[in-house]
Amino acid sequence: MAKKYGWLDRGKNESADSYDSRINHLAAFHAGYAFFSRDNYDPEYAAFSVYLLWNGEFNSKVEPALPDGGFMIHCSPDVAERFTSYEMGLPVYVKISSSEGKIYAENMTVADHKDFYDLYFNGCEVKKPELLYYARRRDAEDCFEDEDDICREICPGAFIIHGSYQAAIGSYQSVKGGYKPANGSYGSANGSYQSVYGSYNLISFAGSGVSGGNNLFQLGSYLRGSYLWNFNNNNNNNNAGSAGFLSSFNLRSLWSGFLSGSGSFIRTLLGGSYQGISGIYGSGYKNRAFGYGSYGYGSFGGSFTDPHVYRPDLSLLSAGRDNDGDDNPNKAMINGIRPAESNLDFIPRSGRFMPSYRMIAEMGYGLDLI
Amino acid sequence: MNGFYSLWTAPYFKGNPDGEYSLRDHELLMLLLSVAAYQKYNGSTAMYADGPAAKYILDTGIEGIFKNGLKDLNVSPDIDPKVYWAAGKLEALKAEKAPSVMIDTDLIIWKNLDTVFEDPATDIAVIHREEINPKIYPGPCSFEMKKGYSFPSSWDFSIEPANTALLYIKDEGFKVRYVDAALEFMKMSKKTDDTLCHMVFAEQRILPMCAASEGKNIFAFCNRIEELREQRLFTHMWGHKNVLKFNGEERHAYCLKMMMRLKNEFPEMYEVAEKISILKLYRK
Repeated sequence: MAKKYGWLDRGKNESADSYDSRINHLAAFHAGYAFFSRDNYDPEYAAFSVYLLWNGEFNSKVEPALPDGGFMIHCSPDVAERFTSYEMGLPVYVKISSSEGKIYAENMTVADHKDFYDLYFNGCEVKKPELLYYARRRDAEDCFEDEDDICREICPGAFIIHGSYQAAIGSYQSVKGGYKPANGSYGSANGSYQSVYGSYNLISFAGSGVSGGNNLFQLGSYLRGSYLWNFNNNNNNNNAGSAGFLSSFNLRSLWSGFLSGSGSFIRTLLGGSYQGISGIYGSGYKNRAFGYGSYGYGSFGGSFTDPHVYRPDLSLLSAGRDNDGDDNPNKAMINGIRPAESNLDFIPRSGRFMPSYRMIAEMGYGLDLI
Repeated sequence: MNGFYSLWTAPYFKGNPDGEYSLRDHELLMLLLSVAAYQKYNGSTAMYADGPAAKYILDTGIEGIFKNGLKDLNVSPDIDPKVYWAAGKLEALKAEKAPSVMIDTDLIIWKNLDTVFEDPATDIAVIHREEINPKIYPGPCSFEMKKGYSFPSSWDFSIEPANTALLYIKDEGFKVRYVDAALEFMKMSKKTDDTLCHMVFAEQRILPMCAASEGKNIFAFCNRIEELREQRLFTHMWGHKNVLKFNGEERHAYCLKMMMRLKNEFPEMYEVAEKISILKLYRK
């Protein structure tokens, strides 16, 4: 398989200082995809935990390798609702830095066309999206090899369509190249999933959790430097209450033309109707029933083919955009400017670590004594 | 009271056989702050380091910060560093003469603790006790042991584990017996992929069971987890290290904070820090 990130390697005759300098001057680039599920949205804090698929080659060059969970963005309920319709996820851009010849991931951003959402690691819980698709581009098949295994393991119904997509779902069936809900109901992948990455563990904690009486990501015991992400998909965990995926969930509207580039494909779907209850607003918010059919085709990203290029149109000064007037696409990350979050002023800056999540994320104490 | 730290790199090289060991900026600053605070409020410190860690310390130019010097750390090759990633601490504990205080590199002790250490009733002191969560502390039958090993009948498995981010042991004899018991467990456990339960059993559960079997009293600075949030004695980075690993913005802010604390309160250590290349970003 072609390697796309060889330019991140240190040259034979390249000193550590020159290498650091070269890497530190790189623009942010596409390194993975973020996937969204209603279950992971917390309307109280407008916080959306995201499930990430990193380009495997990129991730092998970063120290430590980036985990697939523990990251979140802030976005309004409306945006969150839209994001859950992006079954192919949204691209994640990473600004890396190098120190003494080692590459570290620094600031990260999820890009939704011209909107950018800073991606924070705070160790928050994330439930693997129920309907997870990701690209299996001919030129990037090696990237997600490991993830395939994970998906198959926890989602026995997973299958591949057209060699381009893989659906990591439990109870769907393929019908003439399309999808059809089995028995009109959505079945999530059961069982628990634990992943281990880097030098620390993903651990489960017993005790009171963030989702009421459920058992997702609960913290009850303290261990040094350890986390546990336990994907208990069989207990309808939902931060927002009792809503969530209560009825059939078919393919959502297509994500077309998000990124221009080569490798577009046609995906034909048997539309089917979608009728569900949105869990974005939670039980304490609005529950909305709606339905639509979706079918068509879309083109999909070329970023992996040329990761040097920050490919999407990043003109932050587009009409109506509320930002600081700087059109440097990296500034959104580098200087912490969050044009896409400007409508979230109700969230204090410190509130991006939600109290219930902080407990899990920090697992430290006396941090304010410094 | 003398204190000591340890850095054992074998777990790192297990996952990064071709890597070059180093501490991240936030890890290094935390260590500097920890050493500075301990030596200001409590006593001298030593650092036990294996070969690569010692090289890193020398290369970074921080060997002089440990008033009791840099000492060799040797860990038995029979111990799997992936499973028992904190075995270096126990070997260091074995090597350091009691009474002494074992301190994690991500722990800062902000006050003098002599009243606790010098209390005749204190045989052992730990930061806090832990609940027996079966997912983390499963029963003894969950461990597959090599032939010839059996758990001592004197061990009471209902005793709550003790977190050893800070561990004070007064008695040299007890210390050796505890460490030997923990190391024997590590060497005699069969190959496993578990990287949590085995380690915390060896380190944090055997300790109170050994103590109870010998009638030793354990003082815990916090008896309930909730108390940790109220206390003003310690800063323990703990799992927040992982947040800093992946959150560049947060790491930068926290490193700046630590650097400023060094500058304002520990100027001698700040002078050391400002000469370190990876910390130049935070110089003020």
